[in-house]
Amino acid sequence: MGLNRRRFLLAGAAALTGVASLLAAGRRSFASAGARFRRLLRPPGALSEQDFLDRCIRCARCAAVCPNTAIQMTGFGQGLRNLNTPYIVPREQACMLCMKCTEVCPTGALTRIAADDDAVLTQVKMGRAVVDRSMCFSYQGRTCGVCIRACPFPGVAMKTGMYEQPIVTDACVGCGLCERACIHVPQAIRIVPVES
Amino acid sequence: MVAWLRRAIQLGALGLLLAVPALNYGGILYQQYGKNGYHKISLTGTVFEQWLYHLFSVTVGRLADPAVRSMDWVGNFGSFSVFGFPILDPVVAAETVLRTPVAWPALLAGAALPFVVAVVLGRVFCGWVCPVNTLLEGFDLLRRRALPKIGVRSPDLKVPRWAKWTLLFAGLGAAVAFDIALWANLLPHVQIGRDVFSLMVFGVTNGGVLIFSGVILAELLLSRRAWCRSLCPTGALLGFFGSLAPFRVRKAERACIDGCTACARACPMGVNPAEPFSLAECYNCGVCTTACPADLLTLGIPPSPRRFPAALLSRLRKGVSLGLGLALLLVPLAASAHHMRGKPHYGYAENYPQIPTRETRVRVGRYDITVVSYFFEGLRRQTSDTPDDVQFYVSLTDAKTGQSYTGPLTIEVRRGKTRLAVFQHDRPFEEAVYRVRQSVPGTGLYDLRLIAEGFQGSVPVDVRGDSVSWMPYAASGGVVLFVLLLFIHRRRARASRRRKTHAASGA
Repeated sequence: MGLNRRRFLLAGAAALTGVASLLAAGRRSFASAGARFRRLLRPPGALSEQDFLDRCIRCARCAAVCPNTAIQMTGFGQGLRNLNTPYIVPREQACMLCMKCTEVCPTGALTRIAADDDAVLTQVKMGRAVVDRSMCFSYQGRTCGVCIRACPFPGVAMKTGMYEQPIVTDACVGCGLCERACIHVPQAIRIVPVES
Repeated sequence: MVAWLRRAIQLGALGLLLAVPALNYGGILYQQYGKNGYHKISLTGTVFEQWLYHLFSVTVGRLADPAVRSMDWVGNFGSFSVFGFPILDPVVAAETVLRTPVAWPALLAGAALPFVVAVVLGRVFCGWVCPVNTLLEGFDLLRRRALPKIGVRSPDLKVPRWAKWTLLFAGLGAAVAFDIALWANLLPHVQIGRDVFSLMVFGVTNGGVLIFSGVILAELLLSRRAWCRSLCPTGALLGFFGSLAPFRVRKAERACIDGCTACARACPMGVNPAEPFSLAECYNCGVCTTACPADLLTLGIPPSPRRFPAALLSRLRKGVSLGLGLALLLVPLAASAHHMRGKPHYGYAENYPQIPTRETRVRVGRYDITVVSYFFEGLRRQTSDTPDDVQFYVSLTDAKTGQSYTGPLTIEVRRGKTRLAVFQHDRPFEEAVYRVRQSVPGTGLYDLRLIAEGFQGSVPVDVRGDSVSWMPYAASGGVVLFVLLLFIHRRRARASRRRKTHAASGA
């Protein structure tokens, strides 16, 4: 009987589907790799990037308890070293500094921080907000002030100059609430993850 | 009795995999929508989220502090926390200790419970709890019952049992040498928990499907429980400690029935309990004790005097694990697949401020280029006026000076080699942002080619809809289908050859 035509075609089609979709999936995840391999904004309390990657056991507990659903888990798109690690995209959902993720981390990759203003201001350093003055409405002569109203520490982490022009201070913890709130598209204020 | 208890615990473990993320997510919804948020969640939540919210509010929501209670159970089989008590997979713990010795107290504390259980009860985690084994018991039925009916006999290759030690140490070595978390990402019984969680909440999987297809293929193509017998590093460690356990299969002093191999044939781990055997390879499932026609084998505790005779019940029992295993993979996907939790939906009614969040940021030459893409109603939405309209916001910032480019800019929208449109701007649309609106033929990868003064470069932009990517499923399904068809073909070919030689010798 041997390999009849129908079976050959079936097997071939199945194999082709498999290979083609693998290739397509691969192309999709690696084609814009350069764009996605930038530094990730880690949850509050994260150790320096290298220590964090060493200690994190990829259990996804921090994402499971995040009440603001800000913490996401990386896929293959952000590189193998980062696979299954938590990160935050403030423009989608910013951190509201409740510190629950630091409570549940089993290995201390996120150090435990109390959920009060003083502890958060002194210990959390996820990144720092940077204003793009050529885009910011307030710096272009139209008062806006949305970011200062979104900031959890107004007057401390962010001050305003004339016409509600935002001035970010060193106290900024990098929660990203200002980036989430910015009405400009693309956002005129964005969090640059902390250098480590 | 033992068989029923074991089945119950296995199903409980599978249930836990679904229940724990559901509890966590239910708690989150409860906090986001508030105690009386029924109206709000019926407007903005998905059916799955509404269901979860209702379930949570009539159960945990009745307790004193629901937000805290929803965090009492967190984690998966790689790392569990039950009322603050830590449980860690020993391989994950070992790997992390090796990579970063600083965290060892927490890690050792977490690995303590699995260690104690293994020393007292043997490899019961593998036989009684592990979701991968439960899943494979379903595929075992496929292998032994269903496939022979269509003329496929799976091979029984003897993959050396020490391979799991090699894998364990090679993996640990590689993890240390290349400084990556290897087993924490790869172990299938860990991945299954992460996948259920991320399917339920984010609607995506992170390669879990590929890992499971590998394990299932090993079951179908190598031998029964090839993963558990010869490959699983957690099984290796637990077996090592489990060989000390007092809880084990024992054979009575009486002699066996002559020529009977019922127990050895029944054993999924390929052990022969009639002979002295290595305790590290037995996972105490007790299948051999029910298989023995002379009742010579007992599992730690005295055999029950009464058996459940109903054949119907036993058949039902066998179907359950296969069904549940498949349902476990598919149900959360179907329930809320395309929904990113709490993220804006790109529809006017669903999310008013409509802040576009799909952002590509690349460095090309001296510029940091940001492209924000914004779908008016999402691609391929039936109800929208302009279904495939995409708006791109492009801005170029000089990486050195921090100044944004505001001169003339030409933007080409390309897909592969076809040029869809060219836009020329003398100045930005507003505040250093150039805006382009274009109807595109579908989702996929587009290139924006930018030509400015003394600069040109292109930015790949992934234009995605809100739908699930079925590609990994198709890919792994395709591979499994292909292998099955190959099997059928080989089997048929062999049968026909035999028939021919038989006919030739007969003539």
